[in-house]
Amino acid sequence: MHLTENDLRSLLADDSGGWHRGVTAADVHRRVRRLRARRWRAWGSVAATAGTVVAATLLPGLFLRQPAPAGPAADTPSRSVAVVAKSYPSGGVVQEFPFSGALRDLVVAVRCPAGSRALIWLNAKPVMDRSCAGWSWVSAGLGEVGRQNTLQAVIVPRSAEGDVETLALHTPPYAAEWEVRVLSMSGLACGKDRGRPEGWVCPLITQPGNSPSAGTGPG
Amino acid sequence: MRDRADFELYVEARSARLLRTAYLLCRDWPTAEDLVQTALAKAWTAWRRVGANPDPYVYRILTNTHASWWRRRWHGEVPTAELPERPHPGGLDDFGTREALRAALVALPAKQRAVIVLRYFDDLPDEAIGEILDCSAATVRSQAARALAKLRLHPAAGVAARTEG
Repeated sequence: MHLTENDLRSLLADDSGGWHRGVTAADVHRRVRRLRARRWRAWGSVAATAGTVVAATLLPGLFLRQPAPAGPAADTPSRSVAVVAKSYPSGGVVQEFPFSGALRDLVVAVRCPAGSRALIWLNAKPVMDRSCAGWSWVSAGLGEVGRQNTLQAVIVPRSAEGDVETLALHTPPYAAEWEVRVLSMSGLACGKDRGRPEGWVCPLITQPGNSPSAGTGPG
Repeated sequence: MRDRADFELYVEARSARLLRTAYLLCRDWPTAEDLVQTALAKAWTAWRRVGANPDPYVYRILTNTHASWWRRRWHGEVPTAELPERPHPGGLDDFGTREALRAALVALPAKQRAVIVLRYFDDLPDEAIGEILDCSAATVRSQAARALAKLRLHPAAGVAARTEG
């Protein structure tokens, strides 16, 4: 092999002499600006990601509905909160009670004896007209935050005839134990150590054999 | 203190040489320009910390950037519909020594190619090359010896040697 260092030097010198545009200071400064912009973009994306992580950690409600915090199991049997829980010894009398609060996904549940018919209005709007058989419930849609809501409920004998308004006003009282509850399925939980909101009732209706899920569903 | 005017003087004075070095490292003029611009841009961001002689610092950025690009870029086969022209059996004379040497140089690993270029093109002493490549002068010498051996043993260079003889 005749390769010598001089061959190498000569080849490198010749090869590097081709045509080229060259590099100016303006080119370099332009490149500096590009590098800095890229670096800022990278920092920006890192900062945005970090901000998202921090916000997701500190404000989980912005991103997803957080599951109920784990509390004492006996006090948090469900993710629903009973806003109203009333029991009555007789039917035929319209019971009216207000409630308020930040409510959503309201469910009205009634437990009344067989042979009766439950009639319920929420804010003067009929939400239930159903024959009784253990627990019955109906989804009443969304309550309004901060608004004073009014629930009216009555049970009448199933055999009674007439339109709802007439039945509610003209049915004479009769002996029948029944109860009504308004539940907010907001995912809130209440527990002994969590500061129970005033007027809210815990525990909920998930007692053995009395759970709404054991009753008649809507429709 | 080094300032913008000082840097621009340096670019004007040294960019042509740096560009030729960069071309010998990557064997592609647009890539060489890209390489030099990137190296000088990085040097400018640290210009105030660069000493009286910026060359070792800039050469170091240049070779490091080339090595990182060389690692990242794919150096495999390029599929093509047309087969390249091949020398006919008796046509080895067409395959000159220089072409063989170029092929052998391109086949060298990035660090060995850098040693060859800095030593035989930029005429830098082994100590300076070691400073640029972040290794000792002895390592530079061993890398150079290996590179030269590879050049001599490269199949294309071997062909050239036979045809020259």
